[in-house]
Amino acid sequence: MSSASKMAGILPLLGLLACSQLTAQPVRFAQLNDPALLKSPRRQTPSEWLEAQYALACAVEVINRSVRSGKKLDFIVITGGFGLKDGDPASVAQLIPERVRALSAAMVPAVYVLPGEDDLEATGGIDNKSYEDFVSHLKQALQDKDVRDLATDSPAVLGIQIVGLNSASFGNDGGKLAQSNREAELREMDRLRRATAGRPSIVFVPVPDLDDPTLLKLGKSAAGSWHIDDTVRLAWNGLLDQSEILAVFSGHLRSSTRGVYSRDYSWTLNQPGPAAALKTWVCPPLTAPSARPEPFLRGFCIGTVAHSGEVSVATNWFPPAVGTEPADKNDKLAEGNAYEKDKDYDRASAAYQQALSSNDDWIRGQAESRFERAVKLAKDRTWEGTLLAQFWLRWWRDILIGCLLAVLLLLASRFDVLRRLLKVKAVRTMIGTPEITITPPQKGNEGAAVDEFTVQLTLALEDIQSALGPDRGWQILAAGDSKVSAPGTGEGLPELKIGGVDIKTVLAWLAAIRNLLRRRIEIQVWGASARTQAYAVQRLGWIEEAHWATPPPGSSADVVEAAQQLAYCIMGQEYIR
Amino acid sequence: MTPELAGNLESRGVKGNFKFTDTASFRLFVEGMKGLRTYEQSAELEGLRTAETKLTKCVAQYPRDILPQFYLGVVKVFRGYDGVGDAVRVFGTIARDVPELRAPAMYNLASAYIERYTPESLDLARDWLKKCIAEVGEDKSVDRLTLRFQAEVVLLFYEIRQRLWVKRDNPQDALKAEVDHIVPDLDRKLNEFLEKLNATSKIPAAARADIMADYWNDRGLLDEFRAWSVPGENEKRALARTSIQSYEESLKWKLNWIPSKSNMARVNIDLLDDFVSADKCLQEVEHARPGDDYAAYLWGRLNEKTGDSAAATSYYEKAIHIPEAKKNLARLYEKDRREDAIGVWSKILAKHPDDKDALAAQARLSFPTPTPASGAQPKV
Repeated sequence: MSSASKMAGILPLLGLLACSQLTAQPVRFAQLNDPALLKSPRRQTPSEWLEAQYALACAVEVINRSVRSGKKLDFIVITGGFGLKDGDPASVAQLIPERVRALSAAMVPAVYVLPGEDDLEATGGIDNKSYEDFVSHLKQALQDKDVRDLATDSPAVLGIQIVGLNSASFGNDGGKLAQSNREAELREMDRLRRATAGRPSIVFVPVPDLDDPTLLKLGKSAAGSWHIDDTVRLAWNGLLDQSEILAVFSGHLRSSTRGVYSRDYSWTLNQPGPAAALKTWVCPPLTAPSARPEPFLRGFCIGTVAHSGEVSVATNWFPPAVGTEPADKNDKLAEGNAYEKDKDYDRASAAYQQALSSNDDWIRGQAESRFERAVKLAKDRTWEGTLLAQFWLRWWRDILIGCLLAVLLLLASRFDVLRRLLKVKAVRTMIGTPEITITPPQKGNEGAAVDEFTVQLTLALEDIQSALGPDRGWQILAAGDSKVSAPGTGEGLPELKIGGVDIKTVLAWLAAIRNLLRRRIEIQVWGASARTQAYAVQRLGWIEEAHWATPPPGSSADVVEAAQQLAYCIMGQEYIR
Repeated sequence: MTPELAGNLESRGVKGNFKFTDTASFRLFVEGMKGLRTYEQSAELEGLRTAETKLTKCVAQYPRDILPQFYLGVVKVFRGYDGVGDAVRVFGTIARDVPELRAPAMYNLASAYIERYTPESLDLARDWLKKCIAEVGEDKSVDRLTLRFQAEVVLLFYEIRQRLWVKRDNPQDALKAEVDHIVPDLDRKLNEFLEKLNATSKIPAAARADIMADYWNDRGLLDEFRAWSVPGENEKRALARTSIQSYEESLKWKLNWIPSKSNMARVNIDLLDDFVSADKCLQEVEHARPGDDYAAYLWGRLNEKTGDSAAATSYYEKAIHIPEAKKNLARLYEKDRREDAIGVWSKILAKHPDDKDALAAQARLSFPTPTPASGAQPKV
C-alpha cells in the first residue's frame, strides 16, 4: 500500500477526531439583557439615556478584551429588553444601525436575540409585528454577523442546540391572560420540546420562572414573574427535568442584591423546584432605572457550557468598581485590626507585617503605621498583658456563667426547687421516683450498738411505710414523693481484674460518684444499747439538706427508741409543714 | 374535738395537701394508723384502742392537723354507738370545710349514721350516701371509683333493709308485692352491681374486699327477708341457711366484721332457733366490740326465746336506743312492771304517735283483759 493510499485511509479518521474534538469543546457566549437600545429618550432620565448609550459599548469592549486575550466567544445573546414597547416604531429603521454599531464591532461571529416583556404586548400573544421588524432591521445592520431570532430559530453551536423560549407573555398581566394565552404558550413549549429533543441544549428564557424582587412586597402569589396556566407550567417543569437541557439562562430581574444573580434563592417567596434551582442562571440587566435610593445592579454574563452539563458563569458588573477585587493584602490589614482589637498585639503585628508587602500604596501606608503602633502597644503592655489578666480577659464570660450557674444551684437548693419540680407529674414520670439512700450507719464510738440500730431503723421505716400505704381504697395518704431505701451493708462489688486493671476499684469509684449525686442519709451512732444517740445528715451532692439528732438534745433513749425517732424524722420530712 | 379546719388548707405534701405540725404529730398519727390497720385486719380490739388513744392525743395536741381528725372519726365509727356522735361532728365539719376530703367524709358520715341504727339515722345515712355519689360524679380516678362502689353497695343495703327487711314480720299475705316485685328488682340490682365491680380492675384489693363483704351482707339480708316471707317451714329454714352462707361469705372477705356476725346471730335466733350458734356469734361480736348495742339487743332476743326474761330485760335496757329493743323491753315490763311499761310505751308514742305497737300496748294497758280469777264472782 502506498503512502498516499495510507493517508487516504487516515484522513477520514483524523477528520472524525477533529470533529469529535470540535464537538467536545464547550460553548462560550456573552449574555446581555435590557440594553434599552430603542427606548425613546422621552421615557428615560438623562442619566438613563446616557447609560443606555454606553452600556452596550462597554459590554462589547469587555467581550472584545476577553477575545483578544484568547478566550473566544461563540455568540452574543440578547435576552430581551430592547425597549420596543417604549420606543417609536416609525423610527426603528433609522435608529437601529446607529444604536447597534457597538454590536457590529464585537469580535463575535453570531448575535442571537429574544424578545422580552418590554418588547411585546402580552395581550397580543407572542406574535408581534414590531419585534419581527426589529429583527429584520437588525439582520440588515449586522450583515457580517449571523443574526438569529431564537424565538423562531434554534441554531446548533459546537454540537449544542441553542434554543430560546419566548416567555415575554408569561407574566400574563398578573395571570389575567393566562387562559387566553394558554394555547399559544403551550405551542411555545412544544416548539421548545421539539428543538431540544435528543440534543444537548441551552435554553435562553428572557423572563425566568422566578419571583420578581421588585414585586416581593405584593405577596407570594403576586411576586412570581410567570403567571401561566397550570398545564403550561407542567409542560415547562417536564422540559426542565430532561437531561438534554443543560442550563437555562434568564434575565429580566432587577435587584440591588447580588444574591438574586448568584443562584441563592433564599430571597424568593415561591421557592423554585430542584431542577429549576439547579439549571437556572440569571443575568443582571445592562441598564436599569436609576430613580431609586439604592440603585439596581447592572452588568452582563459570560457563560461557558460543556457537553457534560458543566456550566460556569462570570458576571461583569457595571460600573467595573462594583466587581473589582479588593486591594492587595487588604485582608491582612483587616486581620491585624481584629487582633489589635482583641489586644493580641503579637498576632496583629505579624498580620500588619505581611500587609507591608502589598502592591497597593494605601495598604502599605496603613500597614506601616499600624505595625508601628502594634509593636509599641506590645512593648507597653499594662496590667492587661499579664497572664492573669489575659486569662481573665479570655475566660471572664465563662467564669461569669459558671458563677451564675452556681448561684442558681444554691437558690434552687435554698428554695427546694428540685423537690417542687419532682411534684410535677410529668417530671416525675420522666425521671422516675427519686430515691433516698440510707448509707450503712457508722459507729461513733467503740461499743456503739450500730447493728441493732440498723435493724431497728429498718423495721421502723418499713412499719411507717406500711402504715401509710393505700388505705381503704382512698389514697388520701401517699407514701411520699421519695422512695426511702433501708440501710445496706455495702456494695457487693466483684473481685475482677481485666488486663491488669482492677475492675473493683473502677466500679467503686463509679458507685461513689453515683452515690454522691444521689440524695443520701449518713448516720453516726454513739453510746451503747441502753443509751443511744444518733446523728443523721441528708445530703444531695455536697449540699446538706437536713440533719437530725435522735433523741433530741436534753433527752435520752435506748437504741430502739433512737432508731424509731430517726425513722419518723426521715419519713416525716415529706409530711411536715 | 374539731376546731376550725380551714386554716390548715395550705398544707401540702400528703395527697390532699394535709401536712403535720411536727414529727411528734406525724408519729402519733402513724401509730394511730397502725392500730387502725391492726383492727381492720384482725378485729383485735387492742388495735382499735391504740388507734383511738394515739389519734385522740394527736388531735388534742395538734388541733390544726386534719388527717388525725379524719381517722379519729373512722375509729369512732368502728367504736359503734358510743362514738357515733363524735364521728358525725368531725365528718360533718370536714364535709363542709375541706373540699379535698368531702366525698370520703360524706361516706363516713353515712357509716356513722348507720351505726346509730335508728330509722331517722338510716334515712340520713341514705341522704349522705347519695350526696357522696353525686360528689364523686363520673370521676374515673381509682379513689373516686372505689368510693362510688363503696357508697353504692351501702345504699343497696339501705334499700333492702327499708323496702323489705323491716317488713319481715308482717303477715305473709301482706308481703305479696314485696315478694313479687321488690325482691326480684333488688336481686337484679345486686347482680348488676357485682358485674360492674368485676368489670372494674382498678379497685385496690383491700377496698375490693370491703366492698365484697358489704355485697354478701346485702345478699344475706335479702335472703333473710325471703326466708321470712315463705310459708313452709322447710323452705324457710333452707332460705335461712342460704342467708347464713351469704353472711359467712361476707366474713371471708372481712374477718370478724360485726354487721355480718350480728346478722348471722339474728338469723340463728329468729329463723333457725340455733341458739348455740347465735351465742357463739354474739360472743365474737362482744370480743371485737364490747358493749355493742345491737349485740345486746340480740342477747335480749336470745334470752327471751330461751325463757330467761330477767336476762333479756337487762340486755334490752342496755340497747334501749334501738327501737325494737325498747318495744321488747316494754313488753317484758308489762308482765311485772306495769308502770315502767307504760312509761316506755309513752316515750315511744311521744316520738312516734302513729306507732301501732305502742298504740296497741296503750290500749292493752289502759283496759286490761280480765283474768278468770278476777272475773269470778266473789264468794259470799
